Amino acid sequence: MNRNYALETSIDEESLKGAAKFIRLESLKMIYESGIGHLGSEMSVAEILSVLYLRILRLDPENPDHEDRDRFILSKAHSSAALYSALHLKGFLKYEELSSYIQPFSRLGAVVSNRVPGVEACTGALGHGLPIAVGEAIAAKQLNSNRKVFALMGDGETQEGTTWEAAMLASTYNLDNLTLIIDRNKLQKGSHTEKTNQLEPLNDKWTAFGWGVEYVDGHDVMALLDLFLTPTKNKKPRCVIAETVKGKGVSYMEDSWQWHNQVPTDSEYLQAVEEIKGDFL
Amino acid sequence: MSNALQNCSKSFSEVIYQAGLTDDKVFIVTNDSVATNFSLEFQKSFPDRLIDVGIAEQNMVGVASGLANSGRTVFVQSAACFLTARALEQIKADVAYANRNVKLCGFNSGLSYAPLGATHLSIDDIAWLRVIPNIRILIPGDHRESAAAAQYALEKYGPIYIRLANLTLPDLYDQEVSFENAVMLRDGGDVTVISTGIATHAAKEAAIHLAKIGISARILHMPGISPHDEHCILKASKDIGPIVVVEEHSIHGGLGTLVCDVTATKYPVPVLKLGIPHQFLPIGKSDWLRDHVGLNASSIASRVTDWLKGIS
Repeated sequence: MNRNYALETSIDEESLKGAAKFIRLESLKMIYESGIGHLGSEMSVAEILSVLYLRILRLDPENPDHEDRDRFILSKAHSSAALYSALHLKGFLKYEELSSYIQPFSRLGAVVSNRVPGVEACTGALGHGLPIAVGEAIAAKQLNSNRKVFALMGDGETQEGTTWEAAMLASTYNLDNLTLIIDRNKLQKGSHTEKTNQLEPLNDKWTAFGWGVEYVDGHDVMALLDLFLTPTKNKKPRCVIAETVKGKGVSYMEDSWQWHNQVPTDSEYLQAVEEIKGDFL
Repeated sequence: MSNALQNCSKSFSEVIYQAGLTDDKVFIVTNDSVATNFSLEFQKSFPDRLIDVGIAEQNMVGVASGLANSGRTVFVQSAACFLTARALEQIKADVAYANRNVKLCGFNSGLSYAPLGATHLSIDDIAWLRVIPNIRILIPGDHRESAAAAQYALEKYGPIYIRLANLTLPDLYDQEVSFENAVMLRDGGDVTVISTGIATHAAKEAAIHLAKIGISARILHMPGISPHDEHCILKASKDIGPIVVVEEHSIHGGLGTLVCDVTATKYPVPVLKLGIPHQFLPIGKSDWLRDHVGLNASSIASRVTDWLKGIS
């Protein structure tokens, strides 16, 4: 399993944007057809997953349990349709399986589980992913493996106390092989994060917990790629605050907490498809 | 049978240490309780393989799950009360649902921490964990079973909860330990007493008291209650009839409830549950509290006697 996708420059900006578009369209389709899902969250992580799965993560769909694979933990497990779409692009899931989303006995639930090839953990309840990622990173260090561990959390999710338990331990163990990406779309289920349980100053918090903090435009594939390809020189775990828009790509969903788990009507669905295809970004 | 008294928890942790000498996949994750869990030697010998997360039980179990996903055999070691209450969701999702090779070791279970009161008693842990699928539950009653529980956990893949006592006790029996089968410590014909863990010592002694007044009790000890030995429960129902259950756990949700489930649905017989009553208990030392709730031989014997009179 030596393929180094980071060097595959043929997967360029256009490919990465195309993958993000695919992720949006397929997520929209899965949720519209099943009547259940978290569209706002699916839309805000499309570019992040596109870059990670097409250029960064060393994974082999023919050998999903390869011990030295990189680990990606989707802690915000309700961005499930987006992840399933990315897993299809990577070769873990056949396209036909995407339409089994939430069907009886399907592997593809509204939150991810490790029944799905390529999914590392059952993270439906929020706040579980970072501790698991810390465990993975500690194991990697102990084995002198150069595999990387990534976790993607929602910003609202970081209100969970386990976030800070894991954050402290990560810096105690100098886990510079661990990258946390925070989907900073500033909205949670019921409202704006800063009106609910204030997260700011986020930079200061993570810095105080011993992490190296970087900001990135979470919808700029080249900025994301550049950031992930650039190693940090400190011995700290890495916190990437990805500034995103909840519902990105669909005009009536953008920046709207109401679209956390609302399902589009027929006409709303058609409008959303047109906007995504026409690159309303 | 050995007359040497040995500490149950120490025997348990000694097996893990020995395994650690030859298997570098064995890890311990703990919450600032290394000495309490008799793992100082492990920490000293294999410092990279004991992860002390500090006072953070939910993180402790999550970290264990992540380690296990990297092929480690992970023993989570903590006071039973905090492990099972604080980290119950992590146990459910990150260990059981994810089917990770994580062994949850609950030290100082039951009434061990009686002087600290209700916050520190784990008399509800069997109830909570029994209802989550895919967790084997072992409740050793002496040091031999405690050591055997560690060995079982090393060999059997998957989530296991081991409920440990920090007590130095005589051996309950000398035949080979089997967690899938109950052990008949004494046969009898008037009543069956089924018990688990350290409570069996009192049940075993109660049988002697009962014999003196002409009541012949079959004593069955269950060191494993998930999966449980249903056959022995039904055989006791059919052979004898009345069943008494003794456990250092709430009367709700533990072995008593399990026995009621089996008998009520398959072969109804009268069942008396002797355990912790449904109330917050007073402060006191552990042995005093055991006496106070009636988990000693004489109280068990007298309650069984009165009950049998009442149902005859």
